[in-house]
Amino acid sequence: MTMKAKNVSAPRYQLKLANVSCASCVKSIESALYAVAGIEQAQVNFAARTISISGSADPKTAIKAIQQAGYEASLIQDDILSDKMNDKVELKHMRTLLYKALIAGILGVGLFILSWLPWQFSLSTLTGQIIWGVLGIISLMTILYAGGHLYRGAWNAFRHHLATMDTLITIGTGAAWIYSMVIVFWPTLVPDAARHVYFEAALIIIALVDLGAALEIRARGKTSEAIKRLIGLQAKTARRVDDNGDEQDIPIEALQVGDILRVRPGEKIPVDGIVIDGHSSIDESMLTGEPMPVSKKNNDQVFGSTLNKTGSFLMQATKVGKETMLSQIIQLVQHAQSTKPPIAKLADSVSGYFVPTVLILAVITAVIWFNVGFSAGFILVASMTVLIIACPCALGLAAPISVMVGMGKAAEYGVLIRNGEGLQRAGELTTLVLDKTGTITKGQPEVVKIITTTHFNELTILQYAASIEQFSEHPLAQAIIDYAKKQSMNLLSAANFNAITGQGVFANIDGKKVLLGNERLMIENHVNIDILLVQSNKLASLGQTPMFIAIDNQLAGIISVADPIKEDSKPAITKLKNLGIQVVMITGDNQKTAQAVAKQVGIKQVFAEVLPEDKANHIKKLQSKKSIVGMVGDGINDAPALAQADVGFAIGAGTDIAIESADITLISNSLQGVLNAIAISKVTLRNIKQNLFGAFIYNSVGIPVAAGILYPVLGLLLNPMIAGFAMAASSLTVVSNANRLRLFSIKGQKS
Amino acid sequence: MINVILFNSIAALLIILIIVWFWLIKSKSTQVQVDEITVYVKDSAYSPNRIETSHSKLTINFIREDASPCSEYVLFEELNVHEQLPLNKPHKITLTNLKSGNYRFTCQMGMYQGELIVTNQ
Repeated sequence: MTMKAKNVSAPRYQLKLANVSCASCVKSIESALYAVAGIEQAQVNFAARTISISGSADPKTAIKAIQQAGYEASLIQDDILSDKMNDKVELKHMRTLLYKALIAGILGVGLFILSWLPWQFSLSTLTGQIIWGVLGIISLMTILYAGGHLYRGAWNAFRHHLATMDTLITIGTGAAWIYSMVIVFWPTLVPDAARHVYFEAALIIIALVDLGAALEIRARGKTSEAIKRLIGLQAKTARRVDDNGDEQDIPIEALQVGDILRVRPGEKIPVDGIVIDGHSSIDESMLTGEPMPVSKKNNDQVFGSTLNKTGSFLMQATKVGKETMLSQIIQLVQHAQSTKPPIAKLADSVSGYFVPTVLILAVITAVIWFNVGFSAGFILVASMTVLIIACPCALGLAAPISVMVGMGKAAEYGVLIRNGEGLQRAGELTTLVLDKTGTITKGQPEVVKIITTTHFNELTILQYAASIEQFSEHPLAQAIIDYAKKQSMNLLSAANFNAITGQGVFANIDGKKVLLGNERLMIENHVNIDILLVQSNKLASLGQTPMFIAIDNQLAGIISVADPIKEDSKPAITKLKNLGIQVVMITGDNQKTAQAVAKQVGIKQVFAEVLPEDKANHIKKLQSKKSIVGMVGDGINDAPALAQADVGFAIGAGTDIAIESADITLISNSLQGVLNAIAISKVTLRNIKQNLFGAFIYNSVGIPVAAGILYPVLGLLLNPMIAGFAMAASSLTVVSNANRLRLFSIKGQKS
Repeated sequence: MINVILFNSIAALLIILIIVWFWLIKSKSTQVQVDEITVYVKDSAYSPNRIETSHSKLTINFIREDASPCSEYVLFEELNVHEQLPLNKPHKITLTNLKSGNYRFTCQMGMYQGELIVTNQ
């Protein structure tokens, strides 16, 4: 890596490199680029085969230089950057729409007032005809200016044998204008009283459609707020420490895997990495939703965009750019936001037929009123109103817009939902299967209790136990060694180490014979354990593994090791049961330990001693009882079971979120995440149902009323301008209702 | 009387035309010769909106020129592909392991509609 300037500006763009096979190619590419005027810095990331370039030279020039050096390169489109650009273009689009709405609105309202004035120009006179003719032409120009995009869209769709929202508006307003012009030129076609023109209706409808679209862009912008907030979490710079120990601030785009970074108190951690020197407590709530800061020491993983609270430390970058956890989350959520829950399928199947059906209904409306003997003006108004009031948008938007907001909300709580189906099913669960190790418990055995006999103290027996266990490969040994190290204890050297399978270990330490193991080891070595037997049994019944320690054949005490239950497991399980969900525990552990843990957290149904490959079968059995089954596991050993379940939850995936088998990934390590997922699922689904219901009702009531169904009874025929207003309002209502989800919050949780 | 017959006949004809044009006739498909095709998202439609390929791998280069937010996403529901389209910038979507069949692609609301027809064995 070549450093040219001390103060490096942010890379302007990245190129993807091809046929770069060896690290030495990197050098020749870099030097080829540095020969180009306007390139300040070029940094190759060999692992990712990318190159970050800063300076004034454009991508084309850079690519050419690379090609001349014998390699291929292409420009990488930065999604995050293009997002910003989309925002800008959309803002401009919104302004244009507002302006168009204003112009069409002013002329429309002007003509509307004119038509109510007592001295209006009569179409029975030539002057009146000329004036209305001119106004008609002005209207046409305004319609084409303000609604040209609708007309173009309708025509383009028509060519492709499709009918859209644009089709309805175009035919409705177009028919109004044509009819009006016919009346202007041949007023005698209709009786005197019916000589009314509808230029103002066409103009106001187009103004309302434009206004509605503009407001919708604004409201939609808010639906992706969660994603924007996630993107905004990213740190902008990092303090890199070079080989000489010099520190300098550089933009995070320039970071590479392996860089050593200094993180000071109060700073955001720039990228993912591991702590290599120092310790601190870190607020990870922005990723996990868990409000409690987490303490980190050497070799612990830290994540980009989380907040360093207290200490200063050095870290080594392990993941940069798109590989970081935050980027992965953003990508996952962005993808999930555009998926659909099963409930939306109905609206989808309708949407393809909706517009042609409305066109047919408009024709039928005209036929009915014509045959009953109504005037041409009445027929036009009724049919036009049918076309204008129908709103496929509200129907089509109902689900996607709520999903968009709901998925974003979930991400704020550290719940990553892969798709719409997972989102819907999570709220419908009737049974939830929890894996024991790592889900209910912490998944890492710890020393939970030390009991000593009269002649020994805790520290002594711990020191002996840890000293002997350093030679053991048993999984519980590590728990004892860790515990001893935590007390900054020196381990003694041991001689004649021996391990007896199923019993324990023994060795000579300080000339003393030390035994560490279960009851059998003690009995075979004639150690009397009677005084601690009751306590030992009690510990075992709690699901712990008590180990006896004897020094020179005299019982010294018990060290009890267990996989402790997470503090929040029990409250979460209680809440799940309160929701009416049947909670089941599944584990490969023995019955006794399983039952002990289940009892402590309040679970009645336990499947113990289940082989990993059989977990999926148990899920299947539960599903055959018509239950909708969720499964919570670590996502690695439980993959088949997670895949079999209706909703698979991967918990504590803080290290790797690319878990393919899970429908829902909980970044935090707590079962509370399942509750959050269920709560968000339920509230989102309710929102979707409200939207779908509203849109269906709106259309199925609005269309018949527009067609004049109430006219024979109440003499009511809807004004097409009111229909235009209702149509614009209906899709806005759907978007606004979905936006209400943004305000949803879960008690006691930080989003 | 002639008026009545004329009006009703025209209306009936219109209904038939609507059904035939929007339901029965599908737009001509564009045969992809190589394994890449550009689709414009413009004026409320995908052009071309019917794509036919005999390959099992296809790259579709979407160019979205329509600023309306409706066109922001393109979904291939059966293929589980959902992509956000940047404005005025090509966005490539590569579909692999395509099996024979018809796959609909739409915007989020299903107003923009297209169809991908795969005919390989």
